[in-house]
Amino acid sequence: MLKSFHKLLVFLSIILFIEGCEKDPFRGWDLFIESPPPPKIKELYYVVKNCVPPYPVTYYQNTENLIGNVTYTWYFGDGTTSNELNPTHIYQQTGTYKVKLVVRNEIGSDSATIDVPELNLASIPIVSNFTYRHFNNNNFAPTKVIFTNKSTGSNIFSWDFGDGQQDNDDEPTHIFQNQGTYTVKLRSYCTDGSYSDYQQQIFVNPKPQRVFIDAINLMLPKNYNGQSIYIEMYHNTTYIGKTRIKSGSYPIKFNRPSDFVDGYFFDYVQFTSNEVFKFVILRDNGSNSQPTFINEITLASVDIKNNFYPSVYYTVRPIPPVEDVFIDLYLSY
Amino acid sequence: MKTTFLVLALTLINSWLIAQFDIKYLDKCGYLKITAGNIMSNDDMKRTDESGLFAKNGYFIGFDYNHIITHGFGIGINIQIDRYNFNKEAFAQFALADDYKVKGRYASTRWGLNIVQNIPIVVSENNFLINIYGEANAGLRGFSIPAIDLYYSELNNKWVEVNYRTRMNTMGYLGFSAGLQFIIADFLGINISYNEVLRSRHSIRYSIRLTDAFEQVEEKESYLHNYLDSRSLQFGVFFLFGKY
Repeated sequence: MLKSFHKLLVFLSIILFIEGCEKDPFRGWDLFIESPPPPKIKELYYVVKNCVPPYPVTYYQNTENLIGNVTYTWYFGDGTTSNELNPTHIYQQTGTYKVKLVVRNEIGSDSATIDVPELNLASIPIVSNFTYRHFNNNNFAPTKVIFTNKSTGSNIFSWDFGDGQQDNDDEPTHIFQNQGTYTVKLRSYCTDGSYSDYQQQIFVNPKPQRVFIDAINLMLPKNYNGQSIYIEMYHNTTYIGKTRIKSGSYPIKFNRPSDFVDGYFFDYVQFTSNEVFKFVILRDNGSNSQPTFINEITLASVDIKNNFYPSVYYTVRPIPPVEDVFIDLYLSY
Repeated sequence: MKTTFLVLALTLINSWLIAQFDIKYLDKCGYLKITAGNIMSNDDMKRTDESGLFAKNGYFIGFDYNHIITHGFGIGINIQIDRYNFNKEAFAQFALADDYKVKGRYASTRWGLNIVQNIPIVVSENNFLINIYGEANAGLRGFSIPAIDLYYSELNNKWVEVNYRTRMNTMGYLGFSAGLQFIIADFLGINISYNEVLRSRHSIRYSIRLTDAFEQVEEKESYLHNYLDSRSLQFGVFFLFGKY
């Protein structure tokens, strides 16, 4: 009994030692209240769409933080205005024009100006040019490509995508079905019949066959705190691996390779419409009992393809049986 | 009515007259008390400002087992589950949220050891016993916050969704309780007591997930730091072992 009493005294001493931290200042809840950012014009440019007067000019803008009711007001420098997103304005007379764009919403506004010196000239050279971007975050076949026409001095266009397809739109989009290197040609014509050529190569990669899971962040409801949680992963019906068992505290982070056993990649991925990627969230009940099912999150092929680290990471919030489950998935190819 | 009171008063006086202290009456016995009641958080926890916890009073359920060694002195263990309500309306207002969802409460679970001194008053041997006791507790305590989701209009706040989630928090605590137990037939009784967790400040860690209007996510970690003492009136049942 004396021994027990001695143990009790030792225990009490330890508790007294860790019992409180009186020195630290009071600290309440961190609140996250910040004014939302006003619109910000990142880019403003124009394209003169003829080589001889009268000059039609199309103005383009790239603005960030577009929330609420956004209005665009263009001042063309000749007393006229427009509220279009990317307006085309025809200048009847040659001269020097300074064009201003004002973007407004309920939070604030931003403005930018641009000079258009070419409008002072009797004629301007035709320069054929374009840029492009992939619709998805990747260039895996099949891939949709969006072209931006940056040609000046022209208003009629002929596109050859290098895969046997042609188009006459100003700014076409095109789907390249197969992997390969495509030479995309643009011929830009002025109204007087003169033209200019420009070409660029576009690389379309084969479908990746292996998708790596870099990390998984799992957030569970509070009642799972302190419990032993793990995730099993399946590609269609094939088991590919599972995470190690971790104690549930928000958020539970699994990083490859150390937090995964058996495997951490989906192999032979085909990106077909009936392909599924399944994450089964389980609670470990020890070696003698079956694990308890908590939730199952199923992603379609398109989700895996279009959202991947680092541009975007995938967040899923499934519906019951257990509410309040989030999974952040970090993938790479 | 007067007669009833008179009879009751005389009976009680008679009981006290015949009652006698027997400090060794409970020696070598064990007893279990199961209690519940209202738990009162302190004013610092209740405060609804930048350093407060927005807590409200709550409830608890407790289990306490003691073994009496000698002269009414004993040692034991206790587990108490405390739940403090969260003043969600005040918090949402303070956080200027347009909408909110709160699940759960402040949850504290205490595991502790006791030293206890009992003063048994035997009114009728083997029939009725009144025990006055004082108990000191020390142990470990887990503490968690409710799951809080705040929603904002994209025109009012950069962050349209703010999620607060608890992390594992363990701390020490010291407390005491004192009260009365009325025991019949040396086995079953009722317990009325006062319990207090001593005043000390602790840190409670939590995680935050911030989502802006463009679905960009940020994750952060922070902590609350405040006094976590509490008081409660305990009512419950009492089982005496080893005497019956």
